[in-house]
Formats: sequence, C-alpha cells, structure tokens
Amino acid sequence: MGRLFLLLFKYRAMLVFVLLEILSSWMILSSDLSVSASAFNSSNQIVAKIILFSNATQNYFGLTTLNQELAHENAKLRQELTSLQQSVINTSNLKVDDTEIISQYEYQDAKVINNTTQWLNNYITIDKGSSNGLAPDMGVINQHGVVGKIHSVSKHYAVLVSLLHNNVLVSSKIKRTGTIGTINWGGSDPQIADLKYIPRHISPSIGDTIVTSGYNAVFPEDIPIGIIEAVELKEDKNFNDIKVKLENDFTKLSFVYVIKNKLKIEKDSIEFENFILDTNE
Amino acid sequence: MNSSSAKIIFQSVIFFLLQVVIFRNVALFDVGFCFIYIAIILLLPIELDRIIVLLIAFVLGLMVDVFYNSFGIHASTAVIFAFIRYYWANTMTPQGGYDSNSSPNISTMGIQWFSTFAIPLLFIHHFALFFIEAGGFSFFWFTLFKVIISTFFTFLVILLFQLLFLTKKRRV
Repeated sequence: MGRLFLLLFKYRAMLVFVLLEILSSWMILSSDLSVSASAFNSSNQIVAKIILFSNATQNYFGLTTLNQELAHENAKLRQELTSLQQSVINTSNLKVDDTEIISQYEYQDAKVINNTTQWLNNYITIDKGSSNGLAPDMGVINQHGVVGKIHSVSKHYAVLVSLLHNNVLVSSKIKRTGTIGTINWGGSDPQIADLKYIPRHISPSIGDTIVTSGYNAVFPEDIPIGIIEAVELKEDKNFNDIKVKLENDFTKLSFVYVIKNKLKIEKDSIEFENFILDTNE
Repeated sequence: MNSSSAKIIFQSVIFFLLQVVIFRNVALFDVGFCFIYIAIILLLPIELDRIIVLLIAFVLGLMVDVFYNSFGIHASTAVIFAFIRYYWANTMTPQGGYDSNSSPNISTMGIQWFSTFAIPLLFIHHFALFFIEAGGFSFFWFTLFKVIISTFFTFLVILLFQLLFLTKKRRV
C-alpha cells in the first residue's frame, strides 16, 4: 500500500495533468449542449463590461458608416410603410381581424458588443438581456437578414449563436420555387453558407433569393438570408449542392433586432402534442 | 510576498488585460492571432512547483475562455502548455542550472536561449488550440498556416514586451 502511495506521489504532476485535461475536455464537449452555463460566457456582467470598454473606441471610428446604414434602413422602412398604407386602402375588405396574428412578432433592438467570424463556431454578444424580455431560442436579424439565435441570457446581456456556427440550422426556402431546405454554415468563408436538402428535381438557378421559411417559430417568414452563388448536382446524390452568398456581412455587425414571437409557445405546444416538433429545423 | 513575485503578478495582470481588451480583436489578415496570455505561464519561475503551474494554467485558460465564449478550449491547451514546459525547461537546463526563482526571460537567459525555449512551446500550444477549435483535421493546411503565423506573431509580441520593459534593468 505504501508503495502505491509512493508511486502516486511520484507521478502526481502527471495525475493532475490528466485530471485537468479530462475536466476541460468535458467542458469543450458539453459547452454546445448546455444553455445553463451562462455565467461562463461573455453574457457575464464583468466580462461584458470589459468587452464594452474595449469596443468603445472601435465603435467611435465606425460611426459614419453606422449612420449611413441606419439612414438607409429608415428610408427603406418608410418606403415599405407607404406601400403598405396604399395596399390597405385598396384591399380594405381583405383585412385580417385577428390582432394577435397581426402583432405576433415584436422587435427589440440591441447593439452588438462582441462578435467573431474567424472560428468554426462563432458567437455574438449583445447588450440586451432578460430584463428586456429576451429568452433563449429567440431569433435575431438585422436590416440585411438573419444573424443568429439567442443561446443564453443574463440580466443585461445575451449571447447568440451566430449563423456562422457549425451546429446552427435555419429552415429556409428558395423564394422563386418555394422549395424548403436548410441553411448551414460550412465553416471556412464567412460570406458563404450551404443550402441543403433541395431535391434533384428542383433546379435552382444562380441568383435565386433564399429566405426563411417561417416553419420553426424562431424566424418569421421571408426574412432574407442570401442569394445562390453556385449549384452543383452530382450523379450519385439525392440533393443539390448549393452555395449561398450571405446577405449579411458578419464582419461588420452593429445593430440587430431580436424577434419575440408571442405565439411561439402556442405553436410549439400544438406541434409537440402531434409529435412534429423539431422535424424542420 | 517579495518584490519578484509582486512583479510577476503585476506582469500577469497586464498580459491578461492586453489579451482580452486588445488582442481579442486582432486578427492579422484573418490568420495571425496573438495569444499573449500564454506568456504568463511561459515566464513563471522554472523552479515553481509543477502542480501549481498546472493549476494556474487551468484557471487562466478558463478566464480567457469566458471572453472567447470557447468554454474549455483555452483551459485544456494552457494545461498542455504548462505540462510540456516543465520537461522542455529540464531538457534545456543551462550549465550550472537555473538561478533560483528566476523567470526565463531574455535578460536572465539571453535572446538565443529564450527563442529556442519559447518558439517550440508556443507552436505546440497554438497547434493544439487551433486544431481543437477547428474540431479536427478537416482544414489541415489552412489551420497549420494559421498556427505558424500566429506562433511567430505571439512570439514577437512577447519579445517586444521584454525589450521594452527589461532594458532598464539591464542598464542598472
């Protein structure tokens, strides 16, 4: 017995090393699954404060472009508003009466305070949290299109899984044909994503717009994602290989909108009752 | 607490803040990253107990992970770094051994010894870091390229720091 302890003592550094490695490997493997570990990412208060400080100077230099983008978006929204007002006058007899459906989505603006694009699994931190009503699994967009999905929230901050994350799948469709597919980022170029599960008999053409399908309650329908850049159909494959150029420049995110879907619980629970939840994510 | 350990703690805080405030946002041409926080472990006194170094590395790695949202990756690679550093320092023992409580820097060891000491260790650390992050060897050459560029970037920054802040001591 004494010799065993002697042996253990002799290799104590090795033992500590192996233990720490097992512990950290377990952390790496479990980090994608656990939403609860919010104290250990940048939604933590102190960490977010430091990150805010480090981004403050950078933001100042980016103000001009930011202003321009906001002005652009304002103009676009104004245009859409007028066209909507016009159409309401013309089609007043087709009005939807259910106000809960009309005001189903609520938008919360937030500022990006931390963002990466260079890793295989990228995360974004924003400066709004549970005190603004944010919760995990809400969708996030900006004026160009889909940005990501909320992963975890603290009181004043939230961490998103970026669309540039290997495990993020967004239910989407080709606008022209209406075919449903799934967007997943391939992992190398922050401009390009893959569109999967478009069957052989559909022939998408270069330049087709890809938008969200609205099938999962995270994103509303018709939020832009990107345009098709290349299509390839291999002999032995059931699905097309489609490369999509993303609308968003993820290296330049500044302001985003979090989508709160008031009817999400209702939709999810009726789907859950019928066992079809999560089949089209 | 004597003055040399106070200096090490001060230096460590500076390196950590530099990492999370400045170098977190730096990516030269999308391939050059600087992980200067690893210098905290690199410059710890060689005589320091191995287990303490391992534990410091683990805690430091976790703290960096919090900022990078990469739960566990920096912790595991920093521990690998600390583990190998002990054996590498043993192999490279100069004639007459190390001075007690001296940290391995260019003013005590000279630039040539320091380069041979630091570069292979940094390479192994960056190699492990980038390949764990990439989740395997699927982008082998691109990742290797990132590893090499980043190793030299980190090394240059560590070297610059020592040249800037250790010269005064040598003149005295």
